[in-house]
Amino acid sequence: MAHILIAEDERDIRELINFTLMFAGYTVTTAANGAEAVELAPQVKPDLIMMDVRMPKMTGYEACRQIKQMDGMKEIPVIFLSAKGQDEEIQTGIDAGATAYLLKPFSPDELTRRVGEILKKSGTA
Amino acid sequence: MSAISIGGDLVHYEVLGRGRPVVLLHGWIGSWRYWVPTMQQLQSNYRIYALDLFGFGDSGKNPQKYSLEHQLVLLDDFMKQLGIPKAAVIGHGLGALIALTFARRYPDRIPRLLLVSAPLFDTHDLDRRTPAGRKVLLTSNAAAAATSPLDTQEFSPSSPTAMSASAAMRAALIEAARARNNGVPVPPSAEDVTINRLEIVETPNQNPLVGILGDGNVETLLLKCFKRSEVFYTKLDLDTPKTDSRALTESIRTFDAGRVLDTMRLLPMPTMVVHGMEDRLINPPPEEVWNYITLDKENLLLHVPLPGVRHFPMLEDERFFKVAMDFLEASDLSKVAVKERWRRRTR
Repeated sequence: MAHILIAEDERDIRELINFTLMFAGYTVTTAANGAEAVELAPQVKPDLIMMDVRMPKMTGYEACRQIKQMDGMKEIPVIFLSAKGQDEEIQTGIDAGATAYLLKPFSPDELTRRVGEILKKSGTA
Repeated sequence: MSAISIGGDLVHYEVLGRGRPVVLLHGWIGSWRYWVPTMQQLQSNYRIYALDLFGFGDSGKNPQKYSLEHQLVLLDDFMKQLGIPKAAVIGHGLGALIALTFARRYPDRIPRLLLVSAPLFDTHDLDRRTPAGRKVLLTSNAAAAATSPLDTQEFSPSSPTAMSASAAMRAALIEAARARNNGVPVPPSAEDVTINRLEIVETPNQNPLVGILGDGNVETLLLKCFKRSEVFYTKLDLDTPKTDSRALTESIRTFDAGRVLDTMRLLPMPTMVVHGMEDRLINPPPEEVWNYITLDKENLLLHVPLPGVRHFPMLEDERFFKVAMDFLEASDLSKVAVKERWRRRTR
């Protein structure tokens, strides 16, 4: 099963996503902010990254840009998590390299479904 | 992923939530993962630990550690290493067997016990068997009152219970054989003996789990629980490659149905027993078994049968979470009318 890296500074949400994805059978690594995600990504080489947009130390946008510039990481699908869905923010995310947006709050089933769809498209389901 | 080393072997676990500790023990199929919904439901009030037993999930695959005794050591060391002096335990199938055995051995460490799909089988001698926890005065006098041990006599650990002569002889012979095995001198007469039934007497050939689990083929067992088309089959099947079938077969090698029933009777803590009434893997206990277990213990042992539910109540029925939460939170179990409440809700 695929390996997913989660970057989310809110502990409760991070744990919710972590356990939901583990229940679905995925291997999960968690980061509490963008800087941690940038540090972990080349180590774990995830098949997909889920990233909160607004995080301390480094935003999700900046973390995504840096990760996408690493060797072998350009094509990793990235899902941004956001509480807002303004068009300009979504465009910023896409420019940073996002594959998809998931608006909070989301249900565990929706999370699992979206992750499955994206992994299937990327050929790593 | 979190893990500790126990006796040189890896034990994987996950933890979620804040509050009083609760330890979850999985069964013969799957791993810690199927506890995730339960963990998510309980996390706001409890700190939930779910681990992979030896031979399952991401824990070590050392066949020498697959016996029930070694899984008990796993639980013992796990709690000690994580600094958990006491914890409620919820065990499912094999996990229930481990939990009740551990609770009997270390009652001070388990304040509350929830057993799901526990292997509680009819030994077909319950009408002749003296429930553990009772003293038995044996007499060879055939005219002695052949009172059934299940008479509603005021129970006191020191009050003797009369038995029929044949039952008395049988029990005396078994106790004498056990004493010999333990190196204790056999009493001079096997006919007039007071047996302290605080000990547990084993009876031969009482291991139905051998027939149920077979060679430990997980896929075969999983098909007794879910159809291939069901989503939980797919979820649980993910763990099949990580399961060593020897962990199943070794875990039940010393299983004795009678001993388990008597162990249940000797548990001093509040215990809830949940069974799916449509469970085709571990059949729910018949009424005779439940009557035997709960004789004089109705305030400590609660049975929650779930109609329409099979082997995995924690996945199949959201009522399970409410049952678990109510049980963990109840301050006075003698006042919890669980059976009546759930009967009303299931009509």
